[in-house]
Amino acid sequence: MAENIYELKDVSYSWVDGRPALDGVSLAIPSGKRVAIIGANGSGKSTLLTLLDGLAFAKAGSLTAFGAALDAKALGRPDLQRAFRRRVGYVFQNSDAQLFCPTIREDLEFGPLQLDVAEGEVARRVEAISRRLGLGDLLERPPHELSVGEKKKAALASTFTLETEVLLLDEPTAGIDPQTMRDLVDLLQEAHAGGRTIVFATHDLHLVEELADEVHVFGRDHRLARSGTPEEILTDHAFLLAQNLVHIHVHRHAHGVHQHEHGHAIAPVKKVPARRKKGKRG
Amino acid sequence: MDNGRAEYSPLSRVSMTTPSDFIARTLARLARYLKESVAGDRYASLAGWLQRTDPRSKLGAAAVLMAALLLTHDPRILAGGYLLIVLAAVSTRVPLGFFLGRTAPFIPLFTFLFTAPAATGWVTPGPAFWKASLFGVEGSLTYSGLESVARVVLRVLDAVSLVALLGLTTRQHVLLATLRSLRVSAIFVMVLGMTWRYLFVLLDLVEATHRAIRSRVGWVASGRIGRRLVAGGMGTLWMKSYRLQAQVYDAMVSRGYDGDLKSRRGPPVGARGVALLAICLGLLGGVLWLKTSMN
Repeated sequence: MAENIYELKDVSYSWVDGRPALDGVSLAIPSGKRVAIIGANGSGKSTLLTLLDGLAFAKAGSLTAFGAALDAKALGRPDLQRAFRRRVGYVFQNSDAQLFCPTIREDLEFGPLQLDVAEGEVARRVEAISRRLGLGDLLERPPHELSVGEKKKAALASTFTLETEVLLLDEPTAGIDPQTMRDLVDLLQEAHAGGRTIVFATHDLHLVEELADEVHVFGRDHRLARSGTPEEILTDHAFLLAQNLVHIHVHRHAHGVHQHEHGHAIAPVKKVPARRKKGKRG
Repeated sequence: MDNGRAEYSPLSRVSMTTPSDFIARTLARLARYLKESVAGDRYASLAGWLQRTDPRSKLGAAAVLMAALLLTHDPRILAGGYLLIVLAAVSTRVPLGFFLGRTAPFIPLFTFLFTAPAATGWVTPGPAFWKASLFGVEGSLTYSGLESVARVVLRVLDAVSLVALLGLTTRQHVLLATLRSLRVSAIFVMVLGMTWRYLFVLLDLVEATHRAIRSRVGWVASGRIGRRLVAGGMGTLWMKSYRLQAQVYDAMVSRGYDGDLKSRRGPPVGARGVALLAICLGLLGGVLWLKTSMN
């Protein structure tokens, strides 16, 4: 059985004004797994990722990462903070927030340089990930000149240069075109094949179907509504409907009006092989 | 636009606004300024000799020339200096009209307006170049006064032109990296870089907010409603920028930033850079020699 990287027991978090963001969440994230966090808007998905990245801390309950408590006291110690940052990378939903340097190259170099990676090694990592994602021509450009998809790739690359064992991704496919999404999924599949643990928050059930080993669904009450495999979750349409993850779609054909559930394939779930060869993209 | 890339979207759209709209006019001016800055970056990407020169030696050369300008008193030499800077700009593929537009008309004019009183005999006594009497009050322009004004105006013109040439032949981020390699505080340089970076993001936000308002209230929103809309827009922008800065800080911490910013060392300065620096140091030496021999 895989060792758990994260363990959450009755974790709660609330905003400054007292509004709850997470309420009594208990779950475990095993090493080397691909874990999807899904739920309606405002259910607490992004907050959970923020806690997993040690950018905020649980107000109640306990959260451990790599077998040690992940709290303000632990991350207040510079050596532990540094050790944690070397192991966990976070791709933010807003690429504009993640790309804060004057050029893409500097953004890609930023993380490893802060973590005292040797300059030669930093250059190697930048070269490798930019070649893999086709960012070579963009390296000397400022982020504001890039399209949404290019920014997303660059944001992903800026986390990949850290070469962490855990990748947290907040809405990785939001607002990007199908080809960019394909590239991104392929990259994540490769990362998983290389042994990385991937935790991603999304509304995209196709991404869940293709990428996830485990799914945690958050309800509008900020509690964990259900956990299971993609097969178990994605085939329970009544549950998905109740969680606002699919909707009833009414439309008109030549023969009249009809309605059906809309938001995800009804067909049985097919798993995609972990590693896809280049040039065979769907 | 190329390949569907969203290139400077705030700039291209704002220029379509109606000139009678105050907000639109302000946005258009902001956009024009940014466009010019972007155009500056375009010239910095050309293959001119100054563009190919190491930015650290360019920065050093500009500092040395600035010192030489401060030590030079003769307006003729200062005027010659300006001519040399213009020639340098043209020889390194910066269009003459663009460069003159950036340096020549307004800055010397404003400097002249501020320094003009120094040309009169009341402020700078001396032999009169021109005398006049009005309602029994006698006034004059003196040779020494005019020379002082010319000296200040030409020094300002030269200094502005030098900085403009440096900015036009060096890309923004390279200039920032150069400051860092010259031991300017890394966090100061980072803040400068971020200011530039997020100017575009915020301008995009402003433009989107303005467009959203216009789509609901139309072109005309004057008086109380207009003021309320502008104030509301400013509040929204403030909140969004506040949220953005928190996200940026989180993104920095997430990638290992702990308050002590680390950056890459630059490569050694090349032969062209050393030569440029040597020439400028030679010019400074010449100015110092002239100054001591004339005394």
